[in-house]
Amino acid sequence: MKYYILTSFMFLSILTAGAQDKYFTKTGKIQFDATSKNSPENIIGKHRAVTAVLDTKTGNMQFSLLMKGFTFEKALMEEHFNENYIESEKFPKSEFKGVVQNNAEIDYSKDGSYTVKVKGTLSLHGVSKEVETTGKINIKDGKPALKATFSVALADYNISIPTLVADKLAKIASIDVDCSLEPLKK
Amino acid sequence: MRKNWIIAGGILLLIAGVAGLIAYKEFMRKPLSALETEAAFTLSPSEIAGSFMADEQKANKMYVGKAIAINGALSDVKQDEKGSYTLVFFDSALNVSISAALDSAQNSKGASLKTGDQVTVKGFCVGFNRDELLGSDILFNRCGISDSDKKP
Repeated sequence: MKYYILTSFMFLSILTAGAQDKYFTKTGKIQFDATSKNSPENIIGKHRAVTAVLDTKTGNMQFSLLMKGFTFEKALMEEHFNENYIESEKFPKSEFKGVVQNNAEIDYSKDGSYTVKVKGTLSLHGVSKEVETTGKINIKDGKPALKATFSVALADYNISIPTLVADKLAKIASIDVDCSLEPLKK
Repeated sequence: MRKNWIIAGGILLLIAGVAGLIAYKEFMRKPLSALETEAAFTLSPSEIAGSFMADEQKANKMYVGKAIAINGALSDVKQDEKGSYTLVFFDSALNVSISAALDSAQNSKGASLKTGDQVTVKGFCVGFNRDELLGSDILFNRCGISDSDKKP
């Protein structure tokens, strides 16, 4: 009887431990800023429904979002973003799959802030490219929060800017990532 | 003759002024909140979840970009660090969530809601995110709560 109870407890512990290696969110935030120096207005799109998953054991991470989820201050900006630049009807989703290169240095069980190097593949507007960036993983109350800022050259993803608005739109957009994760419970 | 030129010039100036005003208004136009738009459909979470799971392409054509009212019991009310709310409905049979990001003007209404509340949320359908691991999602943004349909 004792053997049976002990075995069951150990099995349950492994299952539970495995589930807490993964953290996720479906309400992550990403900001897309393509404001050029000469632009009289901000060209900023904000997304509040980014899906992000992090495996703390392996450092594997994945982000995905629907491009139509970006909201802009002005309706015309949002329409141009979706219809002309991102072509969100043709390319509705953007994804990033990558790995935290220095994952072994992070103690996910202790509160703290870690600078991390992330490498992976960004898929945007039908083009996939290798990207590398630094960011932060902040651990608070046992939960990781992912923050990063990196640049994306629009031309690299076949996003063309009409000459008429070339002075308003930056050729290189700044992407801000802010995702607070919760344990993934199976 | 000179008088005709003056009149013509005046008319052209007027046309240019009106055109300029229209262009300026269009340039400054703010996106609509869903509450300001008549709902193309009023659906339960199961109805819209079933539509997307049955035929995603057809459902995209029918719902994406449109103002849709979703009536059901909330499975979650999420607030982020900046005070913005996302209301969640869940269809457990299909493992599909319907996530409605509330317009910032609706934050005070979001604060009064809790899991289990029966509400009607109107928002613009952003699309469907299929995910076998985490469960699929139907996303809405610029959402507002229809007061008349809120039941305790």
